[in-house]
Amino acid sequence: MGRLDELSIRRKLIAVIALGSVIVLLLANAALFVWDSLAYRRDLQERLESVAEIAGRNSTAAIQFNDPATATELLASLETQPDVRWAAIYDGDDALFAGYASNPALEPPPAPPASSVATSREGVAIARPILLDGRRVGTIAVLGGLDGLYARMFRRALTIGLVLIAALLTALLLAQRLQRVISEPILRLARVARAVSAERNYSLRAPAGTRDEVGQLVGSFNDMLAQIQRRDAALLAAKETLEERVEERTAQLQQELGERHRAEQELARRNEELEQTNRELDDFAYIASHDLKEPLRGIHNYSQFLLEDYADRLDEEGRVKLRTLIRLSRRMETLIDSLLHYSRLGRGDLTFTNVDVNELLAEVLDLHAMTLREKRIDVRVPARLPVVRADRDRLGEVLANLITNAVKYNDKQEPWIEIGTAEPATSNGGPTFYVRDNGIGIQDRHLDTVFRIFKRLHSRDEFGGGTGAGLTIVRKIIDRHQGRVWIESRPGEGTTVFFSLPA
Amino acid sequence: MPEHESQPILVVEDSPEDWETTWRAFQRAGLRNPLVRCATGDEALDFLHRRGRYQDPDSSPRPGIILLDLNLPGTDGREVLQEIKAEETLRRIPVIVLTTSCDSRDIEACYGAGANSYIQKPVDLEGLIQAIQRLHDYWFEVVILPKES
Repeated sequence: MGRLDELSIRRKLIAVIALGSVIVLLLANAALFVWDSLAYRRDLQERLESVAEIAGRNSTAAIQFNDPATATELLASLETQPDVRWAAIYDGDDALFAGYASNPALEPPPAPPASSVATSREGVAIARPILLDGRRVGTIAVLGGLDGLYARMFRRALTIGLVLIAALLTALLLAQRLQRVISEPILRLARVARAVSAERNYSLRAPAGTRDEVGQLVGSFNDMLAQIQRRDAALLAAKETLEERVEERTAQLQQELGERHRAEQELARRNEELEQTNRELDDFAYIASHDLKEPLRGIHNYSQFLLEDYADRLDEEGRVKLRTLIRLSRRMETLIDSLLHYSRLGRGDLTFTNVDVNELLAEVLDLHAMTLREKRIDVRVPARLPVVRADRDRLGEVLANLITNAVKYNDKQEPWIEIGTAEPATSNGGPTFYVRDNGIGIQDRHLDTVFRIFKRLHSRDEFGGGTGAGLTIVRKIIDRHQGRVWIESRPGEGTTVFFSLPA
Repeated sequence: MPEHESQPILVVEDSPEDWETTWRAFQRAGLRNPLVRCATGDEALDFLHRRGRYQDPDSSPRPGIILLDLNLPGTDGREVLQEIKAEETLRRIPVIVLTTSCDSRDIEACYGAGANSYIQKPVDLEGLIQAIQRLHDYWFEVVILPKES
């Protein structure tokens, strides 16, 4: 069967048809053959039996009259029967009475066969009783040879063989023609399929054919090809659309890139301009303060001279006015200095180190020790303060300003200030500090304005005076540290200023 | 006393020196109107609303005009102006902004809030005296002021 699979369809079909026919014929013939042989043998048996019967009857007289010669003659007439190989008559005592053999080499057996029919290699042996008036007087036995059968069988087989060969040839011829009915549609389909596969040409179609399963196959095949074609077309269209979009996007991106590049250039240019402006401002601020201070010094000193030289010629009111003059000129100098300092803070470089805030605080408190003692301020530092990354001097300034404010704006009998760290830490993970007092507090609406430069909430001489630059400077410094400052306050009860530094 | 002389003038000025100068200027201009000075915006509002330490109406007469400096500690002049002009009982009082600032933004904002006029403080005394004189002549002799409500 394995070999059969490898043949082409045509050959398969031819083989199947031819082989089928031949095998059927062979089987039929074989059956006939067997049946024929069996029939022949039955025939032979019947013949032998009738021969025996006749011979037996004819030999009753010979037996009775004990005439073996007649009996032998009688048996010899069986010569005409070619099948008979030997025949024998036995008397009542089962002794050989007369015998005959077609071939002198043969000899009938001395005693009759036991059974009435016996088949052996030599042939079929028949045994019959010889009856006279119903009484058994002897037995006759005949042996028929199978030569005839064998000859016949041989002849038959030969015939069958020849017939089969003829049949095979005819079958082959017929099959050759007949197989086309099935194979042609299949082969056509196969051809088209091969072409489609080789050329990748999906526009080919197999020719429609028969209405059977092969025809359906062809139909389905063509459908599939049509689907593939459609799908291919769709894919192509999608690919083109995609390519278009990619092109668009690429153009877009390039444009954006160009814009971004221009923006960066613009930014770089502006940065340079700003740096330039900064430098100029720095010069300007310094020079301005320098030039402003010169006449100021003049005013201050000359007022001083007036006071000294003309004190006796002035009344008290006059002296008061001169002193006011001196005070005002000093105030102006302080304001100029504050302004210059503030402007420097915005532009100078900060030196970052690890600052132990405890140490720093101690220094600041030490600096202000006298004021703190005078005003009997209770200074509380509830917990150890951390080490932070900051500009030491600037941070010190922040603490000093906040502490000064806390001390100044306090009207309580038992004033205190508290410096510590607050929870929660800010979103950028750094520490939050606070300086708290139980002072006069700040109204909500002034919480932002207090940071404006030179903005005070009280008249010039209340609460120890001041230029109103303290908080402004604190904010500037903290801003430059990338931190945040904010205030919580309850008017009349106290104020807390928080500031955070980045991690 | 002619009526215009009896109308008090409220001067809202934080600098003692400027206040002294203004007072001098009024004297030299020969004006005898009673002057009331408030040094902070909050004080001025307390005075006008007759609250805080100005609860006694005798201590807080209704001023005929208000001279208002813009740069005040605490609540500053711009806020005071807005409050006055928003208040039904106060907004008829002419408010004259008298300030060192000549910033156009301040000028626009003040007029926008309803200031009646805007004067930049002259630096010298003479200039200030003149300005005060003119101010008085205009507001008290040319102009008819509203009746106190």
